[in-house]
Amino acid sequence: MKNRLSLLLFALLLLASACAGVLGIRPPGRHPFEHRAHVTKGVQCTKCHTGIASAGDEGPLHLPDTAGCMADGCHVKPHDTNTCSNCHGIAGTRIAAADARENLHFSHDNHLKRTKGDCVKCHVDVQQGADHLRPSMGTCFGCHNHSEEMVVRKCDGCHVDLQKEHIKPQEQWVHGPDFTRSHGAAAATSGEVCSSCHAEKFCSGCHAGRVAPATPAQLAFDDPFAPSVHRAGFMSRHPDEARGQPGLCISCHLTSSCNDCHFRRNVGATSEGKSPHPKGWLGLPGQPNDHGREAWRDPTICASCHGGEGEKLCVGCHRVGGIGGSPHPPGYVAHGDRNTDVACRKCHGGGL
Amino acid sequence: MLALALGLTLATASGTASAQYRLRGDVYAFGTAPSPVGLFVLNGQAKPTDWADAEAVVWLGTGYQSPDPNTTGDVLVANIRLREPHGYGDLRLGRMLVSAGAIRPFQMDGASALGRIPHGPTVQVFGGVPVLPGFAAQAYDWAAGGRAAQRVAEYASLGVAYLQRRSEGRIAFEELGFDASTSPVKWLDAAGEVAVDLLHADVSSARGSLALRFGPARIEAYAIRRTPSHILPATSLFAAIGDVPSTLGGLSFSLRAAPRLDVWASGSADSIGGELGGRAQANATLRLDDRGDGAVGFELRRQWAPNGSWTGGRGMARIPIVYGLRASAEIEVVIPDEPDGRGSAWPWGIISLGYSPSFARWLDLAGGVEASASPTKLASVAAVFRASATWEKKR
Repeated sequence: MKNRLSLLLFALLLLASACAGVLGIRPPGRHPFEHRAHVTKGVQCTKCHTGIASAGDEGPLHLPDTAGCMADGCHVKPHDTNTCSNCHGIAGTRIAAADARENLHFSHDNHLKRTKGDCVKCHVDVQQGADHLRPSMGTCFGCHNHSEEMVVRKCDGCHVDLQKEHIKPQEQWVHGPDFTRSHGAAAATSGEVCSSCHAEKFCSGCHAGRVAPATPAQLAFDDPFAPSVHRAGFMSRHPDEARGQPGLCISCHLTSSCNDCHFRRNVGATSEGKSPHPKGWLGLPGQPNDHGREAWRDPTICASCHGGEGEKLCVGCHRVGGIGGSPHPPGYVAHGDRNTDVACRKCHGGGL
Repeated sequence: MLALALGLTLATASGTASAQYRLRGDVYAFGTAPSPVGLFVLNGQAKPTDWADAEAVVWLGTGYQSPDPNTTGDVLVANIRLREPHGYGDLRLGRMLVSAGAIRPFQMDGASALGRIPHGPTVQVFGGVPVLPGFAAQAYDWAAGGRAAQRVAEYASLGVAYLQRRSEGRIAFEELGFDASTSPVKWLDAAGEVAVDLLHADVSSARGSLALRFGPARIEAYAIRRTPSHILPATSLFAAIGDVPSTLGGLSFSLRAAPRLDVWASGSADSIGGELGGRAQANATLRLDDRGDGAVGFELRRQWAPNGSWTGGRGMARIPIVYGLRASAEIEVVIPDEPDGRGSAWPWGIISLGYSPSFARWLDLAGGVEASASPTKLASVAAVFRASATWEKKR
């Protein structure tokens, strides 16, 4: 019994360790490089990061290698033959440094002169043992006043090419997981901020879908995490999605786009395929007659097939003295001119 | 316009030290039955000087959703942007997406000018011809409008926009939009917009959002109101059906539960033309490495709507394998409440392999197989392939 309990505890411990690793909660032993330990022993930053004080906008990263660690007898007896950085420090830190070199206009040479050699003035997180050493923009703004550049979105003084850099804002939830739904309100007031990083093709992929050859999800078929409102089997569920969000579809699509596609795929009233309308859709007074309710709920869906000349289909019944009666709801107030406005004239202007 | 953009690029090719050029070509082959389709997408960006840049996306072939089977190409974006060197204004010419506050974004061939005064208002004016697919044109179609916006004490922004669109000379839309956003403290942000249909003196759409952030968590309350009849052009007979708005209010909660694990859930209650509906969604994404190159995710969705309720689950995975080889898979099953002879479940899935060789980063290849059962097809299998090449130069 005792053995079983021990075995169970051991298994749970193993599972917890595995979960912690998978979730990114690192187990002891994998931690950022021991910068603090080196500094408290009096090792200057430039002793390991040789050449950093004169480093310009290009060139090597000035990260120490094994030979550098062993120079001057600092680490004379390495405990194994592997490269030091394999275990000491996190690979992501070096990758982030390489990304920063490629995507930022930055010179350590200029900055170290002004900070009088104090690296921690910018790399504030080093003291806390952080694994991401690139200073935040907030740290930059501690000295640099870029308020005018921010207003006019002139970012290329520091960022080589934001559209290519593809970096997310530091505040992760600016582009949170539900951003596809919520981006509209933010973009309405801050569209210029969006264009700091996104090329126009990014927005046009969805909002100009009427001239796009395929949806963004179809083009990025190999990335299931790419954001798209038409993800996965959207084609199967699109009528039901449309019923749940009246008016949403024509935010991006022409009303005729439904009919164009249905016609091509031989599905719909205008093709030779079956009608998309269910039983009880159209009937005489007193019979099942669902089309009126659906039309009031979302006339854009009707217009998607019956737009243009097809609108006359309605007027055949819904006209003054017609069998369908008035299509206007109770309390309807007419704003148009029945003699000049196209929508009114079809019934009231003697056009039919 | 593309020629103009190219000409500008070449004319200033000996420009400044920050000149950047990028050209990407994607070739797609969709092996769909009964008619396989091919597609070539050419995507170019150029920034020859600090004061000019150009962008173009054109496609040739036949796409999945080509509005006309005879359409063999179109232009998604093709414009040049001339900027005042300090950023106080810019002028865009060509085919562009116009986004101006609460006015719905639309695509046009024309011009858009923007003027910015630091700490003062930003003014945008635009005008042109709304884009129709397949280079089609309709006489006397045009759109014009503008937006003025003002930041308030760096914590808020207010804007007002106007749009008039005409179709065959007749007025189709006349809208006035108001937008506002604020973030007075780091943990709070709010945004809202209202578009008013001036032709019928009514609200055509409105949207609001209030979000609170606490460390790794974010809670958002949102509300949306749409009146579909006002979203239709005034020239449509259906605009006379009346005003039956749909309104929804909801909550969204997202949390970075662990360094590599994001979870979020969202739920809303809707009034759809006076009938009740709603939506609920939960999603979890686990990154398999610090950079997020590999990830797995799962999503559950439920929609309640008159004659359109369904439940769905989706799983997705993106896994780097070795030496630039990667695999991905996505699977979804949707179960409608009322099948109505459309099948009791609609499964859909795709598996794909991608390869970007380390010795030729400019090249990317991907291929996949998609299979589904839908209301219109008992079973469907399609193969898809993409080859991409990118050329870029930075000086």
